[in-house]
Amino acid sequence: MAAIRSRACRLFAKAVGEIRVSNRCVSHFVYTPDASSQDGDTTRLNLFQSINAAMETALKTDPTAIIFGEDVGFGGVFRCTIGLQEKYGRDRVFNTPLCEQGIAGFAIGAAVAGATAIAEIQFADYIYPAFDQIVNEAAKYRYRTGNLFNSGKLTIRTPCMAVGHGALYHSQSPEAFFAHCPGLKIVIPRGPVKAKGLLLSCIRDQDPCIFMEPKVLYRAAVEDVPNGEYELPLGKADILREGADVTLIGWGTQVHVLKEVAEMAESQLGVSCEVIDLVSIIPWDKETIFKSVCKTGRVVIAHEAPLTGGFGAEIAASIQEECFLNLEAPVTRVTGWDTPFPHVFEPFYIPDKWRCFEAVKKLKEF
Amino acid sequence: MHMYAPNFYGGHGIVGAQCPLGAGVAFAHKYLEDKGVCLTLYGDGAANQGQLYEAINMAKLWNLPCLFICENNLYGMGTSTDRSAANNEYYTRGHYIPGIQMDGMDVLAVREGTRFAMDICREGKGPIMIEAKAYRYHGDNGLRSEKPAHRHPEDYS
Repeated sequence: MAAIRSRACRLFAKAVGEIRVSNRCVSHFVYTPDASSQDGDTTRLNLFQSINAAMETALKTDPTAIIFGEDVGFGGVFRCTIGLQEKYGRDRVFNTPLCEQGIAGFAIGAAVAGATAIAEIQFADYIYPAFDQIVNEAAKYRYRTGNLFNSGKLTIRTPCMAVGHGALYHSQSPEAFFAHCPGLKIVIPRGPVKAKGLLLSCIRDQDPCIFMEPKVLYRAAVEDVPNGEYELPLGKADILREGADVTLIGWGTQVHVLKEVAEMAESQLGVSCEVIDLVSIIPWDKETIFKSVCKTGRVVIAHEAPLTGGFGAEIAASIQEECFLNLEAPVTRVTGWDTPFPHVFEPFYIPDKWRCFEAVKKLKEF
Repeated sequence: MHMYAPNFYGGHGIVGAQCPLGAGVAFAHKYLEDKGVCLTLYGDGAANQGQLYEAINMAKLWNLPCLFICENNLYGMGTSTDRSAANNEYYTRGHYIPGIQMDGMDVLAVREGTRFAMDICREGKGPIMIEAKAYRYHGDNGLRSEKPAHRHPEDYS
């Protein structure tokens, strides 16, 4: 009996010893900072640190600025508000109960009364109870009061997009729901440098803004961020790579996927891609997009959100309206599928580099 | 929260969204006269969701066999009940619904308290609110660590 047991143990140890552990790459993208480096006074920061810096600037320069949301006091579940309550006090940086509708309504009230209200919705997947307040109230306040009142001093920040294991309720990209609402601005940064400047612009903007932060980039995106305060313009897209054959359009995490696709297209197909980060969903930079598509004649729009009614649909409709005679092929969208965001099937769901590359290949052969 | 089974309707994205659902299931039991009771569970954090109170109102108005059970472990994610609730006697927050508080760490107390409340419900006497007071040892989802930040150092013993 003992002999059998010890033989079994030896065999087991042998089997375990022969298991090779391989490095599995679980991320569908590789973060690459912009080619142009920042000169001068910079610090190497990741995305949540740069967002923290922008909020600190707001608190420092604007005595009416307040930050609130679930768990922001101790630093927030993604550390974006770390240190702010200690420095600026509980009356300016405070926790709210678990009540998204209440948070949004409260934020509108604070904003209309003159405070620069920066509200956090813990995950974009949870923004829907606040949808009525944002769409029916915040977006329409200036319009329905004849400019007597407005909620322009409101900024809502929320983590969004796929993170590898988020599943139904920690991975969503709800930008399209809000794009359908005049009166709002929606901004999605691709990295720390953009985030710091864009968030400050949103906070200081005269209209209610939703700042959606790709959560997978909080730690993955690291670059040299200028130390001083700076604002970046809203409604302006960035051309990250110039090209002649195909225009690739994306935002947030997807921008980094598209940059890699452009490299693959160059080396494997000899196709030169122009990569554009839309940056602002509304208002969106039609001029830059149309100019690019008129030049290349072929375009791929990629986003994680589902296909039907995704913001790619709006861009596609507008492109075919304005650039019809310049198009060499139909406008292509590579997007999440029309299902709830899955858990274990995430790698098949997101518009990864292989699906986008395939789209570029089809366009070339059209 | 991520499991589903016959008669076990699972968890929701927004915790608290299951409360109106519970009222609806309770309505079905009442309609079908099958002596069924719906147990609708939520936490101290979700107790601050508006839709819970919408569900409570419907349950009382229509006399639904629904037990609203608040699992109070003193922390909603990282925020303590003192700092998130104006009234943290959760068994009283049904207002016009009678409430029972029980020791959530004692399985026999929970069993007897729930049995008591279910019997009342089954007799058609309307919804009951229960608060099961418990303690959370580990960090909540996303806030895992050896020494979870929400606990006081004195609690480690």
